[in-house]
Amino acid sequence: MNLSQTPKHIKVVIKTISAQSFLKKRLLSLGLSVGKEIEVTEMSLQKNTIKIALGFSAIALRMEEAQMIEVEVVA
Amino acid sequence: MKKLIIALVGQPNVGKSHLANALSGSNLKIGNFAGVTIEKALAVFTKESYSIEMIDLPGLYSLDDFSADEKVTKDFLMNESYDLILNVVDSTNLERNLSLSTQLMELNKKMVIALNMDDEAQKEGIEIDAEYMSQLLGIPCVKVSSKTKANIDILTKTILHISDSEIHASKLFFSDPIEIELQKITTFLDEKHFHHKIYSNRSIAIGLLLQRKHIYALMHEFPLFI
Ligand SMILES: Nc1nc2c(ncn2[C@@H]2O[C@H](COP(=O)(O)OP(=O)(O)OP(=O)(O)O)[C@@H](O)[C@H]2O)c(=O)[nH]1
Ligand SMILES: [Mg+2]
Repeated sequence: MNLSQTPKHIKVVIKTISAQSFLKKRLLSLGLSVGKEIEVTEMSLQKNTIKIALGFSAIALRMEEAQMIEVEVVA
Repeated sequence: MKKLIIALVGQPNVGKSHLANALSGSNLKIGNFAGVTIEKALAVFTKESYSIEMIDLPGLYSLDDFSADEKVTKDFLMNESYDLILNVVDSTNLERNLSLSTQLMELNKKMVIALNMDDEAQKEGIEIDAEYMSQLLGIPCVKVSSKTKANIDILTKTILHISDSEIHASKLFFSDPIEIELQKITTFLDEKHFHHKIYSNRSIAIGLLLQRKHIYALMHEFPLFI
């Protein structure tokens, strides 16, 4: 499952990020890296933006970027 | 009186401006820099035998030139003269904040880390071993709160102490495969008797391997690889 398909309020862990190096670095500097536990907290009405919670911060992502992030539900 | 220029650097919203206020007390003068579209605030105050100039740079997530205001800060750090980086981090978001800190460590500048928002961290039950962190990084790390003003005096003392001391190489280590390649490049540079006035050969190796544009530009000037 990728992050764009993840329902709200379910804790997931990042498995892979399949972005080009520049974007990947950017996501990393925002705190998104493999192994991180995150949760989708909001979704825009047209479903083109999501808000995710990560530790003590919140990040907004476009669906395009969210699709690049493979996640797995935390057991 | 000795003049000391401090660059305040940190990710957005970590409390750089508040900390600048707390450190400079009531002697704060905020002004704009000429020639840039994005504001760089400046605080001037005196402490002990120092005249301190503090430059509050726009927040940035990394030194990768992602946006125009991030580039302002990066260009300042690369090209302007200053004595010390005060890296402000949000104690409640340490891991994310430290990704910028490691990039700053590549710059070979004197550095102090302010673990800001310590009041928040304590509320959240986050415990940071600042002493151990200082040892690991080879950079003094001081827990502060620009809100409650806790430890602001210790931070000032630390900054003055570091500016009086010799600069020493940062303790930036990578995973084994990267360390092996760094070693190869460093050895190559050593064998060519290459010396740069600011960057050590290891720093240059790091810059080349991590594809830092400024290091590529710098090395481009030397006919080493023929
Ligand atoms: N609890 C707490 N809040 C703080 C502290 N320092 C700053 N803040 C708050 O954090 C927010 C951001 O502070 P600023 O000083 O504007 O942050 P900045 O790093 O200058 O932000 P940019 O310039 O936008 O990158 C403000 O709402 C401050 O009140 C602190 O030590 N503790
Ligand atoms: Mg600010």
